[in-house]
Amino acid sequence: MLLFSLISLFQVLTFLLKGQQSMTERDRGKLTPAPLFPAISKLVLITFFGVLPSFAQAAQPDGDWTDVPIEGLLDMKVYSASRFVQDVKEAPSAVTILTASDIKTYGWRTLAEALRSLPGLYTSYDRNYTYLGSRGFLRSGDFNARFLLLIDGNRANDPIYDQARLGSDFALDIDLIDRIEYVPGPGSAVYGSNAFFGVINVITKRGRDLNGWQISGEAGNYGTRKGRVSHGWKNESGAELLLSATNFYREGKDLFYPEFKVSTSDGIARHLDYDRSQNVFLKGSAGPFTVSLVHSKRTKGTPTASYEQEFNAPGSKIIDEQTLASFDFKHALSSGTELSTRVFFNEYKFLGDFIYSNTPSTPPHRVNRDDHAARWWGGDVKILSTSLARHRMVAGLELQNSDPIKMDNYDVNPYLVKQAARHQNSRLGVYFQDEWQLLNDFMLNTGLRYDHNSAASGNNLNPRLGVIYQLSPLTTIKALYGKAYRLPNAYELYYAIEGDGGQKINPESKPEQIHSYEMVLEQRLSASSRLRFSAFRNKVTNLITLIEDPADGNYVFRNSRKATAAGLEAALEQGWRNGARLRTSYAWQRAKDDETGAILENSPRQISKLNFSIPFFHNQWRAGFETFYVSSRNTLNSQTAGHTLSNLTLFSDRLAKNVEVSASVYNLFDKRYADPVGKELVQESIVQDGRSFRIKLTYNF
Amino acid sequence: MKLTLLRHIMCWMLGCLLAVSSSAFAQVADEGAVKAAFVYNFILFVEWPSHADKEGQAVELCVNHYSPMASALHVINDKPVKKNHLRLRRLTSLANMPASCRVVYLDSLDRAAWQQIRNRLADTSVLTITDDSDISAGGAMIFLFTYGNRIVFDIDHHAVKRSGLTMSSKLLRLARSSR
Repeated sequence: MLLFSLISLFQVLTFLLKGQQSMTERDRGKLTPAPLFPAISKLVLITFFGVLPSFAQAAQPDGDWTDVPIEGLLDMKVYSASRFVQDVKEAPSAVTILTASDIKTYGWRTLAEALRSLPGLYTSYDRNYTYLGSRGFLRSGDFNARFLLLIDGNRANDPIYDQARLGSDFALDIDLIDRIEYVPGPGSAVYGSNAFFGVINVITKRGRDLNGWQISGEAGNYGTRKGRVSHGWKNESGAELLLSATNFYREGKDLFYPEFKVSTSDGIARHLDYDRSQNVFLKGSAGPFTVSLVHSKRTKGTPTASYEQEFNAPGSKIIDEQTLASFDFKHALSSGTELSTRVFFNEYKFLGDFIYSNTPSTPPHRVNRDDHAARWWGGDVKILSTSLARHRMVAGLELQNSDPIKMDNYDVNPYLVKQAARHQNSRLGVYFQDEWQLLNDFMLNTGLRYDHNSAASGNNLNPRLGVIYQLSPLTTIKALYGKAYRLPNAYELYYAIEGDGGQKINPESKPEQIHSYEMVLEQRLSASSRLRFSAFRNKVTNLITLIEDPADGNYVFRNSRKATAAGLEAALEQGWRNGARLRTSYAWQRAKDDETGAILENSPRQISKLNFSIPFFHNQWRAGFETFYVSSRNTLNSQTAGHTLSNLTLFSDRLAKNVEVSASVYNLFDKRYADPVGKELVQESIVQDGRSFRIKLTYNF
Repeated sequence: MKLTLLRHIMCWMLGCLLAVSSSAFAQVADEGAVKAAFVYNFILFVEWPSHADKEGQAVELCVNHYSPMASALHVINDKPVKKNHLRLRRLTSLANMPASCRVVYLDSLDRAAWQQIRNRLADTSVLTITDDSDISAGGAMIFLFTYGNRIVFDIDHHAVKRSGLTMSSKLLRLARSSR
């Protein structure tokens, strides 16, 4: 009943906003408040009939069961609402945690889909990569370089594009994720460059989480198939091992782009939306040692004719290949101090085939290839100490060397070298962080990091300060300030290619900077419910932007913009006795260019979200419903309409022993919507998929 | 534009109100409350060695201030334990816990500090209870966890023995496994 009322609530809301929008389009400025009242009366009705009966039988305290003998306790049925709300470590930073069970409940296929459920985050897909936006910032045409992606603490952003790969190009099968920790806000005071808008830390599963073989298969429309084989093993002394391999293929569909409908073309890109990836994963640990190896290769067809390519040209594609290896050691130095060290060796390869027409436009076409590769390795040492009363201190040192960074570009046939660039850089960072419990209800959280970078005018000092005051056992107030930076990456500094859609180097680029101020109020309403309000202001300077130089028509990256984003967020989490769970949030934000005063591209004014899951059919099944509203966004020259996207997943792990099944419908109401894209595309926005399905079966033995 | 915003916020807030007002709709016990009752029972069924069981001193139960169990455990604060009573202490970090703690409740928040806590507790008679599988695997005495929709517990017999504590045979019998 509750599920229905929530769904209808959101429907009302969607309807209302759509009505509002078309009205705005029809007659601007002449708004009447009329539609508000029917909506409210509808809501009151829903509240009355949908929820009141349950309200009547509720409202009893959480209870004292100490009189029950222990045998009786063992027989009691429980619900675990508080664990759901535990999500955030209440104290220093506002970490949000998504778990493996959330991934199953909502049928998320990629890391980006999981992150999209968090307050203030939204995504954009240009049919090559998925981009993540935060608090009104999503830079079309960049590569998620303003988010730091860590896999088990190991930096996965490569040194060429500094790209956080969050779509089907993510290095791991999402099924191997144990949890995702998202830390919003500037994190450079601990993590250095790229921890600009947020830090995404993916914690992988361990051998014991599988304990045996697991095979999983899934199928969906648009010719989607995925298969995975994994094995987890653990011995008596605690040593464990996890091995896994995944193969994914999506045929995609033929896509119509009206921009390319001309006398010689019907505007349909055929067989170019395919997406395939292979991943392997190995993780082993024994005593204080952990070793992990991630390898992935993803190939995506390019149906959009980006970078002024020939439209509907077979062979236009991109390939991303990554290998991440790390070796960790943890050791307790004394009762209050722990040392952890890591060495890592990572490699990234990019191959992009871009198809250009000859003049006159007759096949064979000219194939221009980006052949990029980078290796980065290094190590870090971290000491965590709680030996000083009321302090929790972390000090660390990080060293990273990227060598070589290769960025070649050539025509394939006839072979003609356009660029052969070799670069290298190194980074050194030292940091210190202290959580100081000054008084029982008052905590000071300070952090400072110094980075030395060999490239791009490189020294940087980034502080962070948080004041956390516990007003009552149920109410916490936080005031947070942080500064962060992002170095221009090798692609922005050194990539050059001549000709149409060409690009110039700009070694003079400076790092981008952000100053962030935030006030947070957290109110626990009951053991299983929490409300959070946040007001923020982010000021970004030296924003590196891809612009077209009017002098020669070439693209170039310049520190050309300043922008300010301010906004408010409200979020509610609630668990119920029957196991139902709700996460909902509303964000209002305004991100403006400081010079022109214009709202930034791809920056929605409003975002609201609802994730609701509920067990049904004797707890055998769980239904996960999510719906997101993203208001209209500016494209480079126009606007996309606001849209509501809803997904529904039914999941069960109790149908048969050792079997998990799930069925999902994405874009449940088959809404047509489009995401704004960058300058490298002729299209202003790219239409996203309509309703699609997936079924998934997992077997453990 | 202003109006859209107002309307949107109102809808959202009403939705939240609606959600919060319907706090509960099935007769099942809260996990935290039942776990607290388990913890109380464990304390009743454990004997401390004479040097640790000081006459007239409250049995202190220490828990991470930020653990969701901290508020649930309030129910058993001041409950009688043999000739004495139980006192709950909420600490900002268990790594600096005072020697007066006789029982510690650990959850996933304490995972990072568990090695330190464990080293600190070596050669003491402190009962360690956890609901985190990592900490349990790392040698906590009692592992309290949800199995299906019921709560069960495991006992690490060796860890109990090393600490000099004595557990009643009833507790050992009711444990799902005792290794």
